[in-house]
Amino acid sequence: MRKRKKHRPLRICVGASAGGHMNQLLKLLEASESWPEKPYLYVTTLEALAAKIAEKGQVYVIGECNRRQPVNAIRVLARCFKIAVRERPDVIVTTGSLPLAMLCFWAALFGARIVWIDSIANVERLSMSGAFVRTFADLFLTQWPELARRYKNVEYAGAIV
Amino acid sequence: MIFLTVGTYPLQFNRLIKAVDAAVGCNLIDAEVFAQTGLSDFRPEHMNFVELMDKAEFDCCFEEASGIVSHAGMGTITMALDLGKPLVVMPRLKRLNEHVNDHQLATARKFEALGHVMAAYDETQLVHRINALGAFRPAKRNTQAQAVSDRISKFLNQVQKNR
Repeated sequence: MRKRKKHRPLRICVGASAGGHMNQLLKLLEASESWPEKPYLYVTTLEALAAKIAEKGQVYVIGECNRRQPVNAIRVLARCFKIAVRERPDVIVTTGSLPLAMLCFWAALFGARIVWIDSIANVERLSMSGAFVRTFADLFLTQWPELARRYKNVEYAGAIV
Repeated sequence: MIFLTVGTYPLQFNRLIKAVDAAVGCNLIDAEVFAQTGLSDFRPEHMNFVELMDKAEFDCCFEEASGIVSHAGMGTITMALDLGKPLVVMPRLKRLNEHVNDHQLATARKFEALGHVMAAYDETQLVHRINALGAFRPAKRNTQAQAVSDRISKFLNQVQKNR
């Protein structure tokens, strides 16, 4: 049993909100030949994007929300819970934003490792979602060297865009 | 054609669409403008627009445009830089309920300072910048997607090994 588990391929789930976040994720994936496995699951927030992403693999659309829209936020939180329970990914790699932070939260509770790349749009400080995920992330990257210097456990490895 | 987009963020950005629409109405902009209005409820009267296009249609529109006008969102900024399109950004502001914080102001200032985009912080500046689009040559940006991906790869290999 243990042996079988060990040989099971790493289940990598990648996700990003529509717009700049997804843009950065796709650029990252273009450079991902050295990853031990290809992502098996894609999560985004907008139906208009799903068709394009579906060429790569299975897609979940969790919907948009922000912290001013509590009803939407609860809906997204529930969808993320379902994905975390049903899919049980080993790792989440995401460029944000809040909807993906919700997925990270649930997935981490179920044992997934979390890689968060804070969006390049956060020039002066980490995003609020990022600051939240940083409290339990396993690898946290920023795309601005000055932010890596200012925060503990935040690394700079370059800018994706 | 100039393409106007306010992104897909789930808050309105009527201010930008209204400003461009009014300028087109007054013949203050020299080119034809086409807009994707996203989640803004203002309906332009002087230019053609759609609410939301499929990603493929959006890309096509973007490629055909001679210049782009948009919110200071990284999706648009990145695309414009990739395609070498001149871009004017106007940041969404928290106090006008256009975003949940003012990070777009910081983005606009940073990318303007690096010479990647032109930025307009109010409606008057906006019209001037749009008419200057034809002469603007965006500075090329150096990026390190491979280095970021390699860092993540190192982490993923560790996870794989420790299972």
